[in-house]
Amino acid sequence: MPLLDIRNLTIEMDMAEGRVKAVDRVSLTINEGKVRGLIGESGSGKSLIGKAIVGISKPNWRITADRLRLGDIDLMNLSERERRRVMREDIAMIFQDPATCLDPSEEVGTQLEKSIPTDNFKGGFWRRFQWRKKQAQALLHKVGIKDHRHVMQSYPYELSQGVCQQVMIAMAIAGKPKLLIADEPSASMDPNTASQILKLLKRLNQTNNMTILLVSNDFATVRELAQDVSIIYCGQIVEVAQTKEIISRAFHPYTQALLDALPEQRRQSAAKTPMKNLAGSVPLLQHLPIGCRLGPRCPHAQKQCVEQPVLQKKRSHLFACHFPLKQE
Amino acid sequence: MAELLRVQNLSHHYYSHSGWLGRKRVEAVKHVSFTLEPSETIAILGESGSGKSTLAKILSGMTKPSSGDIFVNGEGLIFGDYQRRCRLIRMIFQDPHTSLNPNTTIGRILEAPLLLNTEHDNLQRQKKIDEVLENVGLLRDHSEFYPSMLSSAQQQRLSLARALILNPKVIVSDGGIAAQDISLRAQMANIMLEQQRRFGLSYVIVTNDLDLVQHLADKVMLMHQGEAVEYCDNHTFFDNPAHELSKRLLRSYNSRNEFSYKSRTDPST
Amino acid sequence: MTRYIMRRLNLLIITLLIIVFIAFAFGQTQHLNGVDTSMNLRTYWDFIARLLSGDWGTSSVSGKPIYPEMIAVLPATLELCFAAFLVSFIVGIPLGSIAGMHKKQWMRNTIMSITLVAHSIPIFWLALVLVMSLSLQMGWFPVSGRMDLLLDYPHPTGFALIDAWFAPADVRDAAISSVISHMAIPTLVLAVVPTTEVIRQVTISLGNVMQQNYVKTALTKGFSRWKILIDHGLRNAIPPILPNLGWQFGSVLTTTMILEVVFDWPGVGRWLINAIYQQDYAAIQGGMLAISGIVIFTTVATDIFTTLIYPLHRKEIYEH
Repeated sequence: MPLLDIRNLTIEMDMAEGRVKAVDRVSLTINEGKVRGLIGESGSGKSLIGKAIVGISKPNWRITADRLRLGDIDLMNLSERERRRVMREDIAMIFQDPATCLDPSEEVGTQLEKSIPTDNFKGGFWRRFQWRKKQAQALLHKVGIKDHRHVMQSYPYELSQGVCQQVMIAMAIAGKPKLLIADEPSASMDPNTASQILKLLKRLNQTNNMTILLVSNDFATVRELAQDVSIIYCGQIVEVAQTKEIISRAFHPYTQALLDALPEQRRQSAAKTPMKNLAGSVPLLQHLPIGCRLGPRCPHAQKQCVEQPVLQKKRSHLFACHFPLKQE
Repeated sequence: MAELLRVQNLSHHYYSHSGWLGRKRVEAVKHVSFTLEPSETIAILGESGSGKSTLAKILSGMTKPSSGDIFVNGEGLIFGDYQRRCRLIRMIFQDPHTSLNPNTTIGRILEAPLLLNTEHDNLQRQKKIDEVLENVGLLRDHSEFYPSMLSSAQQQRLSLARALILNPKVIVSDGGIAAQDISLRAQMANIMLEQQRRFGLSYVIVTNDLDLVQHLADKVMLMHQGEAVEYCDNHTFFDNPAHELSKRLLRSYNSRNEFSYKSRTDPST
Repeated sequence: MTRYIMRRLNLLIITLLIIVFIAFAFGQTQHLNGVDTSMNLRTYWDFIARLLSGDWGTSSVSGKPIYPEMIAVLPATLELCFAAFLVSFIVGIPLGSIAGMHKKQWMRNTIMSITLVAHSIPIFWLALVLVMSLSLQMGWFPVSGRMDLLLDYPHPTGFALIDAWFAPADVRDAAISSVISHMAIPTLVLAVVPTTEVIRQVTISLGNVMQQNYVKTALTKGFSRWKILIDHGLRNAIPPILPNLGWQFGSVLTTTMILEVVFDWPGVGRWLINAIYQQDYAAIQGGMLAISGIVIFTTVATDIFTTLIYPLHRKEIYEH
């Protein structure tokens, strides 16, 4: 049984132009101990899915799903109180721009200590203080921060992006969650720091058997850790497969465009020549095309594409395209 | 080829306060020099806080250097002489959302630099605006739009158009093209390459995107704590870097690219 | 940090010197500062030296020295101001928080409408209406004055509430209740304007803070909105607005002086207005000096205080 099981998740938003399906019947599963990549550009709804899982929504959103379960918990029918408990104990989330995700007016150590649950601590309250501090230090060591004293006494603005993200991860794993949602954890970081953070996530997955939903906008980040990937475009899943399979053979033109942006693909053309890419840009939510949402940008689009393609299966490989790419 | 831009011994320092009493001198940029020829691109790399953004700000004239000189075509640029500088060096800002005035139409945004810096009459200005919009892949009709009516991809193009409109020799981009999305990034890079080919523009690109650097740059400079620790051409940097930091940077970059599935230990399969 | 405090103190001293100079020039034209009416550095310096030694001139009406008289009336005014500010925080922060949380639109609208109405009420009129209804008709509160003069206990500090608190046990309860009932209406009336200001500022500031990423992160950690409000919201929303509220102190002090006449409150305002009626220029000079001095001092003090308690404010200083 998968740990996270999403079936036909739809998020509709009420906007001035009317109701828009920002996420359209998305299905996603992650088995325990696995990493699933969710790849999409900004505006694809990938972050909305993360928000729907943890239950953050705005008044003008309407979230529906045939199934949205974490283990044996049904996330759709939870009271506010139960939902908060699930979020505290079972799901953790990290974001991009970690420095802004920490309270700027509080020392990092204090914030970290606050996120350590004390429920499983037995002993007097006077010991609790020391115990928390010890726990916080251990967590920092776990995420690869050696100079715990300095970090704990610093304010977020005094720390670098990478360290802030390490602290965020420490806070996220403090409650030993079942699922970690990493929403573009290494975006806008320099390569060294980014690869440190990804290595850390990989280690958590391998040694602690942490289940991770890795949300990103490029393959280069995801393929390092994810066994499976889902590609999302404008709120619709376009292709799902194992990472190695999809890299060796993509069926959907959009996936192919993402793969073309990979450094080794790009390196096959000479420097300073035009880079391969799809024409146009991601449409705004108010102007979504009918049928296949990639239609207007797709190099292989034909008449039939005004009809929404359904996900078809080829062995373990799912894709939604009327004219799948034929390769080699 | 004659050198276009010469940066000589550029330094910038400021004072920061440490603790309750201390005052310490922070060297944001330390004696940085480089040269750039027409149609060349230099990429400036570095971690956050390495001084690369300060360097970009000095080049574009937003920050006054503590010492050092900038020469364009052999003539020194003086801090504060924006009339001359903006015809030679222009900046693309990191965030198009905040650097475009939301209450002004795109036509006016593009017209402002022309009004201030050229003798063009109405018709010439309009022609120039249409031309530059077309160059970056926007439509003539867009000049009646407000920035908020454009998608972020189009806003990126617009800020490039604003930089291009005075026919500068050098364009400084601080994070401008390392936009989040892959297709957008490629589109911007393609437009920039096209402009470079047609007009012999030179670029100073501040970014962390090594892949883009490898594709676009002729020269690479790596900064660390204000110093240029590595300054060489593209091939040397990617094939045989001298400094330890460059090697480390490339290692983490390459480890991502030469990722092999065989090395994966997947307990469940 | 020290540099920043020094800079602020410098500002304080320069402003004070300017204020003192205005008072000095006024005094020279009215022949208050002795025989030498020339305006030069030496006479100015003499004037400052006299002020520092506590010689603030002599009242032309009563013939008594100004300084002790003023020290006697100042606490009454300050007490009223502090009480009004306290009330405005106690009322304003919760209401501003509710309005700033963006939880319920109608609640926010109600609070903001009431704030607008309260802000536009003429204070003078409100004071008279409250006295007429609550004091004269209902008889719940005394009409005027600061305390029950029949109770006999020492007044070492001049702050009525503090003095009543430390009064001998036999009169203590009566003294405290008398002071509070006398203070109630003036404080409430005076608190109206700063309360609306606190509500408005907290609403805006908290609205911004609640949009920040760290609040969203806390939401994903499963904390309730109220816990986030206490943990992150107010913590980041209040300090930045403190300097603005410090600025408010000046206008509150001015309002107090008007209200003192209405409530026959023995403070510096009533004293000063009497001085104006009697053309007691030395008292006018002294009162003006004292009040502007206090306003400047509070403004600078809140600024420094904010810097001390709020790390981000400190960071902003580093960057300049």
